[in-house]
Amino acid sequence: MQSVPDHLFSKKQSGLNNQKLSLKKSRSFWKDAFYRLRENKLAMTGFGIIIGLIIMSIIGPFIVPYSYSEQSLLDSNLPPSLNHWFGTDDLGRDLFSRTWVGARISLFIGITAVVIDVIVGVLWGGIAAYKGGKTDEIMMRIVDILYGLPHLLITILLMVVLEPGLLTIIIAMAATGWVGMARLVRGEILRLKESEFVLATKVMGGGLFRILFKQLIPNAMGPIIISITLSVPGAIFAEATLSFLGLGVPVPLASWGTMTSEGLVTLLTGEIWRLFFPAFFISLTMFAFNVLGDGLRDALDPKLKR
Amino acid sequence: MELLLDVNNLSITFKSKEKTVHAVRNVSFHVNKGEVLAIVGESGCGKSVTAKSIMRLLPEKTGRIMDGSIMFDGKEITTMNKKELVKYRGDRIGMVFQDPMSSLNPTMTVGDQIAEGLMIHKGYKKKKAREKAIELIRQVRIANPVHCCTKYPHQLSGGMRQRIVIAMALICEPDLLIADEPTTALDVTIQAEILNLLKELQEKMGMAIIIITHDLGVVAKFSDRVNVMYAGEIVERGTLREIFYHPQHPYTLGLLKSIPKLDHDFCEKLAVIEGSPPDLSILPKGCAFSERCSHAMDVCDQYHPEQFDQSSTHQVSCWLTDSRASRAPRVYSITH
Amino acid sequence: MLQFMFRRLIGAVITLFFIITLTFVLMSAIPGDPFTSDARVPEQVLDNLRDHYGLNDPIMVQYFKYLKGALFLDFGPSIKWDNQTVNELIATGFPVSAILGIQALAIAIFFGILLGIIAAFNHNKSFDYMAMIIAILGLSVPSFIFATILINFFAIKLQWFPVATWGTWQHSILPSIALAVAPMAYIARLTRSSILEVLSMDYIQTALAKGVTGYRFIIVHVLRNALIPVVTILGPITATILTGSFVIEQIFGIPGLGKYFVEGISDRDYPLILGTSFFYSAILVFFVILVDIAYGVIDPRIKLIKGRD
Repeated sequence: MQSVPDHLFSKKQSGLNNQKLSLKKSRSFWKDAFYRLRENKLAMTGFGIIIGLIIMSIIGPFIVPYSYSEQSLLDSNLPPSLNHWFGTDDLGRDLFSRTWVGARISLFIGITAVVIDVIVGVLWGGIAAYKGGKTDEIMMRIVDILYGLPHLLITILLMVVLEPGLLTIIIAMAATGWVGMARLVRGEILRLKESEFVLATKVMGGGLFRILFKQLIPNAMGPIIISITLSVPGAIFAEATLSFLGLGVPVPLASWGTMTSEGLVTLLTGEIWRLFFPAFFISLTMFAFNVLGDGLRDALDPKLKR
Repeated sequence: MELLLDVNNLSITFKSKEKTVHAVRNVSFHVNKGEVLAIVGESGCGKSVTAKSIMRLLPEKTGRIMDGSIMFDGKEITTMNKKELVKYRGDRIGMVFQDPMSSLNPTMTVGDQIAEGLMIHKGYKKKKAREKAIELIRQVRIANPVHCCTKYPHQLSGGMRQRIVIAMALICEPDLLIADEPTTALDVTIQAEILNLLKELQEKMGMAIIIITHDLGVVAKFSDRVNVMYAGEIVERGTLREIFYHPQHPYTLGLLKSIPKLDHDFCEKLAVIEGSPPDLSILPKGCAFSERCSHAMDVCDQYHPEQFDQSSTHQVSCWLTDSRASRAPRVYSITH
Repeated sequence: MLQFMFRRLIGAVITLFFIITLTFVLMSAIPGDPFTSDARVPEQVLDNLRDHYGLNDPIMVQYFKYLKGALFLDFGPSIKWDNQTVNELIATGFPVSAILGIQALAIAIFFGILLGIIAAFNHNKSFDYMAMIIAILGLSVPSFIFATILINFFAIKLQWFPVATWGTWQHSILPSIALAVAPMAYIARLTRSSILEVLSMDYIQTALAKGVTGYRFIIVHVLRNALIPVVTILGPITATILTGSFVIEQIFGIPGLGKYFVEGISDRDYPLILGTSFFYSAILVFFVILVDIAYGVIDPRIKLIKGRD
């Protein structure tokens, strides 16, 4: 038994002190997501790698005194050294310089292709979802047909028809890439169109544009951002595959795919660095985008976080 | 009366990176064979956690029984290993969950889900187990049990699914049924049917029931004794009569006052308990309810209330029942 | 069920018609023809050759010829491979690619699911992290790079397997693994997250409260539900394996369908390109239908069967 002083048994003067039960300050969704992302070490590593790769793709080729296309047959197949940090290839071209030119091309293709995907996909999916009815049906039937095709096959066929070049690769990849985005956007908008907060805005007399831009698009943003981040490595991979098959950027341009392809013979001849650097950087880039995409998904969709 | 379940000084905490939540603190109660005990309280008061701890169904990594004992039929449950535990789950203790929509396995026919218990605990072959399952489906009053047996949960309505869940919990004829908010997710008309069904089956099978609810209407319907929980503690316990006609704790009184009545004037506002329950990651020094209590005294903020006996069956944890608190207005019975 | 099958079949035919038309349009848009490069051949000979392969016919005639070919599965003679029809080439290439593809698919599904299960049941323990790092690496390292790593270690350094080409069963192991890595990683991640989601469901609590344990708990209650999403991605996974084989067959010098397709592209062998493209699309479309049916069978909530309930 605790001993309790008698004088405490009188009614509290302060009365109810419910004021103490303050409401927790709620952070906005995006701030909260950003906070969660920052806590995710792996995702932040990925983000750091991407920033580093972008910086190096800009300044990398200028650091060393060799251009990516300069041939010097006397210096062919040199292993990595103080002069040539990543060594040279069979034509004596500096691999450090070529690697970062390759980075430029891979990142440029990856990002541009995905930007086109997003623009086309958001428009297509958005219009289909918003119009509904017959329009929706026809537009989505087209998407379904394209979705059922092996994409790389179509891309390869397109590459054969069009003039080889950077733009061609981007067009060929965007031709099939937007389909997934269109499906995603349509699904999201249909879901949101039915949601109560959109209904509430309608009831309160919000206009069409207000609903589309203030509510539908921002709320569909999460899945779109995640999809973008995870599409970039897909596009980089597709470019590398095309280049590997000899359908990539024309010589003397270098992409990681062409460099890997050229380096394949070194498995037998032994100048393994020619294969190692491009292969390593493709994998590193894909890894960085994948972990950042995963982190974004966890951050933007807390329900999935476990 | 023969003792079936005896819970003593049970304390449960949940740990996460940021904080430790003391969800259940020093809870003691018992259930006799064949009786119905109601545990009442608002959401988050620890009643479901208490129920799950009896089955040891707390999430292994975060929820932990810190202290206390749970004796079922003379055996200690808190220290049992998995093998022993499984013998109790579903066989001697059955459980009915809140949401019949999500508590059935979507890819298994309801017949198989009911029969599963028999196959595990009684070693029945599939055919025999299914026959018994059909029999039980009939007993929970579903028309055409043979046909129903082959259906998947999504093909049934909410009320039907809850009947299936009940049948599933009862298939091994357990000594104790734990019903965690069994009617909360259902339509009002179906709620009554399910309660009547539970009551009827309880009388027929003679099992004990712990019913967990926030709805005093459910309590009044068929419990023998009532425990009122607030912020992880039992604040008042007594027989149905004692709790409904002589509530001592201001929280119990508040709960009773907030029941809508048919003879109520519609213009009259329902009584509400102001404020919200305290954050259980910070343990209150005094009474957890003092901040919301309109009769709070200085002592309530500083000292944890002792337990006062009102009768052999009726206990209250509230300083207002202390003899020295006579100056404060007494909370007294309400007419019902 | 029949109605569902019928609708899917119609959809498949439309898709195939689309791919036929698309490939044809693309092929006819290519400037020049397979014989343009052979500069020293007299014009008269070239013209005869074009006649032989029907390249002098009006576009529409060529198109309908090709449609007819697709309908009766006869794509005519190959241009680069003398005295061989496209059908014969597909008949020699397909079994090789099929063995490779099926082995890769089996490896991907088996090890992907296994890895996912082990990771999920060791959630947030070191094995989980390890498995998921492996999975992310598997997604990040392109198959052709992984193939070169495999060749370097297992064929050149350790000499356990032949470096390339096709023949014995040993020849098929390294390419199958290289082809399987990315899909396996994908399946592992999906399996893991799907299991974790199922484990948080109410019906899992119900099962535990019934006293279900061990094998029965994992198979009947967890995996039966968790593997449904895994089945749905088998369609895209098959597409990945099909197109992945282009590169893998190239690296390992395997005389499969992918190699014929890629060589057909560089040789401008129209009938071969058209034939292989059609064949690839048909396999994929067929497989997607198969997956849809399987999906309906394992998930009772999906109603393929109308009018029964």
